[in-house]
Amino acid sequence: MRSPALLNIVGGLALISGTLAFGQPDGAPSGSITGTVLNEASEFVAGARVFAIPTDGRAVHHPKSAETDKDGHFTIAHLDWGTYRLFGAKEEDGYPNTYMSFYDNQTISQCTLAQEAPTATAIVSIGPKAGIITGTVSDATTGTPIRNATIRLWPWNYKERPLQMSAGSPYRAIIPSNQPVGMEVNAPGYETWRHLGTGTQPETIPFQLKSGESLTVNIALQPTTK
Amino acid sequence: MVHLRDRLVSSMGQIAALAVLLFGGSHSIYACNPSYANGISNDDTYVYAETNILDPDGNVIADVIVYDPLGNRYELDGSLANGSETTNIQLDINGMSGTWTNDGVTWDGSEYVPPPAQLTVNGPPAYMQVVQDYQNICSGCTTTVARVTTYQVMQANGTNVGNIAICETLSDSMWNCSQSAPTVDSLACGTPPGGTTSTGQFTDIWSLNANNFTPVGCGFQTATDVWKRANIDGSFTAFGTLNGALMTTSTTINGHTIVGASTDGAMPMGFRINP
Repeated sequence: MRSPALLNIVGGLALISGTLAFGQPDGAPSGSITGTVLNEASEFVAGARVFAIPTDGRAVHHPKSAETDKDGHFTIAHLDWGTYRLFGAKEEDGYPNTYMSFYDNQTISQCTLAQEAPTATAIVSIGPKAGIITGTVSDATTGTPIRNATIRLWPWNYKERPLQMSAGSPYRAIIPSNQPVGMEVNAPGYETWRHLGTGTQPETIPFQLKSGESLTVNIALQPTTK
Repeated sequence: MVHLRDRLVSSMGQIAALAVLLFGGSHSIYACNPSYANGISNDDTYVYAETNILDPDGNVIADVIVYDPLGNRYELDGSLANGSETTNIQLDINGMSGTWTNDGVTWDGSEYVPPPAQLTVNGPPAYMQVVQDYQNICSGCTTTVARVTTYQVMQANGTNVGNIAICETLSDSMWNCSQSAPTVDSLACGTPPGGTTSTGQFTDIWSLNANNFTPVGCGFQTATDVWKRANIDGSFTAFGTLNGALMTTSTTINGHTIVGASTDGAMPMGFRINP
């Protein structure tokens, strides 16, 4: 993947002025961020959710957010002074939450609100749509479905950040598209399954799906030999 | 109905009308009967949908009264003329909002074909249920997780509440990291509330949202988060209580712990969370 330092900061009319404080003197936050959500085709996205995540050390329980209107516009109001990164999602249409590093599209909008600059505008990029891998997990010798398998997915160049999920049979995995993703499947009593290339000594290779693409992968696990 | 129709037709396209139900006694609105009770009729020009609000015993407790944008009052005597193809009538009934859906009317060349008319009254929120729950590393973090959970706020009768104003009463405690405890971004009751979607949903994100807390795995060992409706009169109605923990590498919500980037341990879809 990439280091935070390589984040592509876009949009956001950022302005830092004076000492940042949480809220106004009367305690009523009044900062706001307005903006537009665009997809990978630079089209407006209606019904997307935009989250304002503070970058100044605050933890989050319920970050302020807003939904885009039919024209893809949003306004997140009542924000305390501070710096925010904006993340978008519209999961029902295949756009995963980009605050999750596994689905990070490496495009982040960042805005700073202060008393001298209580409003900001931003463009939030979501997409590409995730890819979806579905299939079954079964015993290679008997064909019996295996319901206690574990699927491990990882950005191909960032194996230390896997996403792990239990896999019933069938299973459904949502992966970032347009980038290579590794996948392996484990279950007690079976050899680890890996996605192998072709050839006499095939090596593990990644999946790479296009935006919104679905792929069926039926997995047959070999019982371990005693 | 005919005299009413004539009066309504000129402004029907504009009616985003406020309808007020006047009813006496101590009946509470239980669920709105989608009422085809008196059916839908049509004539050459207009579609009529008739409905009543019934109490749990099936007794008629109210008829609909509509005010148009000019403030004209129409007693509908249990029926409403709707000449528009796209008008939904917004209702506000003793503080509870609802929508009379009567759109999508079609004309087949000889008569209007009405869709089912349905009056839905949103009662108070009673509980919330899980729509989606998963966890991953937060953006820009190395090991710190973020748990994203979408809830749907429900009425006692099992239908969602639609758009309502919401807030939370949050208490994080038993901090055990070496560093000072961070402040927490939340939607505190008493500040401007947030809102649910038209299907009663909202998305929560729990994360310490930083890399600098040590030792790995530390955090708030106890987190209590009570979700409430922010009522117009300034009071709050609780509809979901979350109890758990918010740590750097794991989170727990109502007994469901997710460790690291995973969906394992997540609350299943439909998991009910009570006030």
